[in-house]
Amino acid sequence: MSLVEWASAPQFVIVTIASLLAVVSAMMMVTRRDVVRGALWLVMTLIAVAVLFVTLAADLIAVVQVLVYVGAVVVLFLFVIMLLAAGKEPASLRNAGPGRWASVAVAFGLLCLFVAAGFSGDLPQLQWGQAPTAPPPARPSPTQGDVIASAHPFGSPANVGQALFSAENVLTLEVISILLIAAMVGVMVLAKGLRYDSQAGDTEGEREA
Amino acid sequence: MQFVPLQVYILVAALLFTIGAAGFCTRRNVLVMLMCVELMLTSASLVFVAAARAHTDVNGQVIALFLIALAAVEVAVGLALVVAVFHNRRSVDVDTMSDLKG
Amino acid sequence: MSGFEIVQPSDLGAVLLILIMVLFGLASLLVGSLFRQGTGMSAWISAVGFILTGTVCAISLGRGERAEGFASGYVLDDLTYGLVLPCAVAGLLSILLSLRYLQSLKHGAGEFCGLMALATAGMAVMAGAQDLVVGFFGVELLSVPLYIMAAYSRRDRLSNEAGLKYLMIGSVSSAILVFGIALSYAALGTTNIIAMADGRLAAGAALAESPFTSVTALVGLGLIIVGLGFKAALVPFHMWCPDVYQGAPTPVTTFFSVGPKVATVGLLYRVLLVGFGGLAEWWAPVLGVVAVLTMTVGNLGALLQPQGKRMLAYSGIAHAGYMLLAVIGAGVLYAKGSDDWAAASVAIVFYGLSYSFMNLGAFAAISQLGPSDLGDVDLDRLKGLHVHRPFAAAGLTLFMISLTGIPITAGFWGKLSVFSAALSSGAGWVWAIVIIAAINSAISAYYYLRPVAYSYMWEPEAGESGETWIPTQSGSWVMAAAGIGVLGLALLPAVILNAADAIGQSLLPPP
Repeated sequence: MSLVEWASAPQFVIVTIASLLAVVSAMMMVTRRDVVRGALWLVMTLIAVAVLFVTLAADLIAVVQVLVYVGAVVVLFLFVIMLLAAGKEPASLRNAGPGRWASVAVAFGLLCLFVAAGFSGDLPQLQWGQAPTAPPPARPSPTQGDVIASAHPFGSPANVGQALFSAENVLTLEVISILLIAAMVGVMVLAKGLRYDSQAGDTEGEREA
Repeated sequence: MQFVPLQVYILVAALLFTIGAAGFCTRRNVLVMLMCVELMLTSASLVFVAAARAHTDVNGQVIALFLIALAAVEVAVGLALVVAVFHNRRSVDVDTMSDLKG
Repeated sequence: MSGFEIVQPSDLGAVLLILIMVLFGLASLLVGSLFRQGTGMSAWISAVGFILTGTVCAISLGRGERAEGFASGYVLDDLTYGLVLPCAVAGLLSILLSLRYLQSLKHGAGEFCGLMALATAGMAVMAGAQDLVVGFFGVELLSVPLYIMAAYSRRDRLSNEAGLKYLMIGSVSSAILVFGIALSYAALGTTNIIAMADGRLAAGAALAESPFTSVTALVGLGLIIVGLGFKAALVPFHMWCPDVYQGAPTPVTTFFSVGPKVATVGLLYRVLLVGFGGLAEWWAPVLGVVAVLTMTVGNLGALLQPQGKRMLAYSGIAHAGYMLLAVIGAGVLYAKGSDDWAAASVAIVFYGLSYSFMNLGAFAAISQLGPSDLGDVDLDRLKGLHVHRPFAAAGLTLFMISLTGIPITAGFWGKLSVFSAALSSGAGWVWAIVIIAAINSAISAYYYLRPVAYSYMWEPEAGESGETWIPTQSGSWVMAAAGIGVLGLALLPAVILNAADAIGQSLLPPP
């Protein structure tokens, strides 16, 4: 398969548009001085990535991406931006020191490595539609396998749901539930009292003068 | 559907990751820096979903789901800390946060 | 499909340590938030959890047992026990040390203890993770409570700043880590490290498949090392560490100076050796450079630090560098095709245990130098300590010479085991690194012995009315307990090291 061939495939149009949209709006997000506009560009990036998810047969993930990221995370961002009235950034990119530019250079070096690697070899290494040439290495567990290879089509909610509650992932799921509890309690502790703390009188944790 | 190679998705993800990292390094506004971290996490879940498709292994999609939950956790804790710091300093610029120096 | 088909009883047995810490952590959170007067009780509940976990680890260590669970995503073997033990010790003593701080809090004291237990559960997840994703979320379960605990004193500018800095660096390093995991998943088709080693990475031949696969896997591995390097504060990813240590309340600093470092180095060891062992000739030299930088920068940074917590922060950076030596030695052995590489896990466990005792003792001493647990303290407040507080001065001396690694201390045996694990590889460049490490230990004597010199060779400043040493009951208890631990490890290292002989043997599933 050559570059020219897949460039003429119909799916290519959707993937190209979504990819360009994702990348361009990510750049806009990073370079806007106005934080609110940055957040809106972030929404655009996330939706474009959700479109890419759909082209990868990950419909459920795409829906969750839009619901959680756009519906919750970005709204939370906007809420805090409004709350703090911290819209504009006084010092911008121009003040970045040499160390910061060096890290940017490292990041772009990494990217170049990818471009070189991605298009240096033969492209058909990993292809859609057909089964992988070599089956992925089997997991050592005997209990699994039949659960995942279910009747449901790949990426359907039932398929994802079964994988979510399979032995491979259920431990991670439980760890995340504990993580959510810890984060929730911690945030409540951090937020509790900020309202009346700003009045004088609470000397908790005052430092030695 | 079968003519878009995995490489394309990984390159898009790498671009997003790089843009996020560059933004994190150069921007001084804590809120923007947090948004850049979100961008980096999204790029990771894009790689997971693309690799899941390539290997026909749905676990990659499940991991992407986990990452979305993680992003929500980090934003919640991060914004709580930003609000707490803002109460003390009236600023969200990291350059003003330099009380801790040797 | 019923729930019993998903989770077998053997799965629950494998995550025993996590279950204990999570149960006690949640109970502690619940008690702490339900009852206004529940602070003491939730501290006790967390402490019992730590004691139980530590006891289970201490009893089971060295038996060579191996219990896998959750589709081999998690394993309870000797390395897991050995890594959780120092974390449990650190948690227990940090809870004890934080009693004064908890009394100064208006609210949230109960939640503090619960978060500490949950963070330790995260360390337990990391210690036994055989799946990159499980390990990653273990790292998160460890980090998120720590971000919050670092910023726990909301009114304190330094504590806030430390918490936010920790969060920013921590979340970006998580993103780097998870991107690395994603790339290695894309290249290798699995996140399970056993399956990785059996699959495309088998016998090191793997990456010849295509340039895309090999570059993706190598970049993924590199990003995993960078991400974990941030978490363990390895140079050049250490710049957040002194600031965060200095700004966080002292008991929190104490807690995250030990557990996260030990658990992260342990996770790095397991992932690199068991999972990416086939790429050892790539990563071992890289880690060598990182180890040299880490030791040297850590020691040079600590050299002229006048402040206690900052000094211990740099010293902690240096100690992570020493621990890396064992990983490097094991990697070189693996690349040579030798089976002896698993012996290095003994060195990591022993080093982690001795480091946890001596570092906790040092922090307990630092915490008694000031009236509050916020901010940092100048080390010259120690001047003339031996006149009024002979026991405290003796304890401080014990911890400091042990941290230096002067012979017949716990720190010495720890360094010896790490150095010999590195030297067993026999490679010339590893010898060079060990020599650099030895020179670094000599340099570290300067800053470790300075507090000792302050407390013995200076007289208390004339005309000073108040004493600079503000003894707290909990601080004295922690110093005593840590002192017993350091002495025990110093006098009876053979007991631990013999028991630990079996540690490496259970590292891999039986063929």
